[in-house]
Amino acid sequence: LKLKFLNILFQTPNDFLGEIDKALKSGKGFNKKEENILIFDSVKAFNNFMTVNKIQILRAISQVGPESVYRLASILGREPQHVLKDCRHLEAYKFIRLEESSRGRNPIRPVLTFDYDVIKADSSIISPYIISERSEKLLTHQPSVV
Amino acid sequence: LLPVFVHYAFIGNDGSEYLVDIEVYETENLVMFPEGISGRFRLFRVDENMNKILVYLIDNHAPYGFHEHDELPLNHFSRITIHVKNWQEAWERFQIKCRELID
Repeated sequence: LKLKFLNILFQTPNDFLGEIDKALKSGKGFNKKEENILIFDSVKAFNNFMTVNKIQILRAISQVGPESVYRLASILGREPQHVLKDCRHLEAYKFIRLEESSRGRNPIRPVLTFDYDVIKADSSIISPYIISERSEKLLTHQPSVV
Repeated sequence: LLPVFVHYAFIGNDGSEYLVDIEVYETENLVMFPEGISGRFRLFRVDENMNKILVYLIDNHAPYGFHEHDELPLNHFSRITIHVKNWQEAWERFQIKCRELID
């Protein structure tokens, strides 16, 4: 049973622009989508972004699969408008997608961008974030607590 | 050369959150992409409500060729042709815009 990782890398803007420049001009590919990689400019920016509330949202989406943001807010015991704001932030950075449905009163359904189990940052000071139920079982041997 | 897919987040010199999204890949849709390459360079700003606002875009498709969307974020449908020969030159132009936000 292989866990799926969403990998977080860190690169300064100058390094990032330089790497793309090199990739485009040298003929090298640069497929971070296939490698499931998101890149932040600093560990500090990632830590500011990835709050406890956002981790709980990702875990609830993975483990419960709520049909709407309203239901997600109910699971987490938070106000829907605050959860929606966090969801929009997560969507902007491509951790989740917000799917619109034409049916029902709560048409926005949050889903992970792909079924990743763990978010792993390329930094020794950030522990992996366990997202899915199976990663929880495999890595912590503890019951799921969303 | 291809594909190039990458998503990058950075804090701009104005303190705002920005996202760079680059997609360049080969395609068989030669009607839309006569050179057989589809691609976009996009720059987004995250607003106070955490919505992703498209602020700069360069792409290349029929009938426009290489073009910028010059009235973003208000008007997505305004385009101006840019005179570049290939994706490398389009990237140069996009990179200048990004550097304005980091320097």
